[in-house]
Amino acid sequence: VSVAVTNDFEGFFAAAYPRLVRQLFAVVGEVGEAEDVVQEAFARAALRWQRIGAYDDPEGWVRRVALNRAHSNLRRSRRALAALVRVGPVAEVPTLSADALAVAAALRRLPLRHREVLVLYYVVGLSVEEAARQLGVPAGTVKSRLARGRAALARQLGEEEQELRHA
Amino acid sequence: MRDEELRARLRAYAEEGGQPRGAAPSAAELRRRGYRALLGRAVATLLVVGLAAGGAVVWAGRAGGHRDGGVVDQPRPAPPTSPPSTSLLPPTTTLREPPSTASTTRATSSQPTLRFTVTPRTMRSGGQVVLAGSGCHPGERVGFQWRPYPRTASVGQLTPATARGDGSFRRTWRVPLIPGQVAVSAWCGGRYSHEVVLTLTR
Repeated sequence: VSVAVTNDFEGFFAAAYPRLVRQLFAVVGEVGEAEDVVQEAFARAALRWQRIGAYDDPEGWVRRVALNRAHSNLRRSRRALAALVRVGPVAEVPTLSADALAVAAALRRLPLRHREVLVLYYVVGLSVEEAARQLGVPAGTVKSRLARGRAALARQLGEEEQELRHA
Repeated sequence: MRDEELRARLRAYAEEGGQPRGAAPSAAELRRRGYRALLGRAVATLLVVGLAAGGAVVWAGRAGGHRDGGVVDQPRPAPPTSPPSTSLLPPTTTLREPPSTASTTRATSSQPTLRFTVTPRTMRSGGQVVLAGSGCHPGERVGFQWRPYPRTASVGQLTPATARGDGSFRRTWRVPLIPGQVAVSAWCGGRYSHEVVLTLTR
């Protein structure tokens, strides 16, 4: 049983890890941090895999733990993040394409709560209700964050594109 | 911007920038990390509990006076056989010093009477009182102890004084910051004084 459980976890990890890193990257904006929070969430899942593996959506559990971890990191390094926002994208981002660069810059200006809702809805493809369950907030809250985040992102993407065209 | 366009751009961004940089850790490595994190949390919890306990001891020490040890938990002494009064016998056990045998303030035929007074008996919490008395031998060490009154489980010891040439002694004490009542007593040469009950107001 133990070997089966172990193999099961390894298979789940191999399949879900790259996907979750991409999703968390879209939320936190830095691939190293995304890897850290996702790996930490998987480390927790590994210890409780017999229980978590039986869930309907173990990937959702790991994503939620990783998002919580991202929130904790943000609280801890709010000052550093504020500096990051002031100085602009980190050194890795310039290797992105112009469009990805514009999206990165626009996302960075949004609060983390808006970013995570946008990612769950647009990148992960969850419905409003599913995103609400995932985040443990009412559906109305998700709708409101989604509307505000979408509007801000569209506005900022417009500005970014104008700046890029001028540059 | 249309929803579909936004979806496509966000997904492209996540796909392009979110590729893991290094090789993914193995499941065994993840489990090791999980156990390390659990251990770290357990250590942190113990540390917090230890610090809180240490803080409580320091707080109790401050509450009991600046220079004195404050309240120290001691084994609960035997319950008094008579109703509490301002002249209770001191605890009959628990303190290393003086000896744990019960005694009273009555002088033996060869020893002077140990007298002990506290002035004033009522003051604001955190205020200062004078502990004074007589009846010790010259140069003898005079100990003091206090406890919340009527609770008897915790006893604090104050910095000792030394009896003068005439057997008298005197020292000041900053009373606890917590309003209520405290009982103070003195001893020297194996003899205890009566307890004096002080009232601390806000």
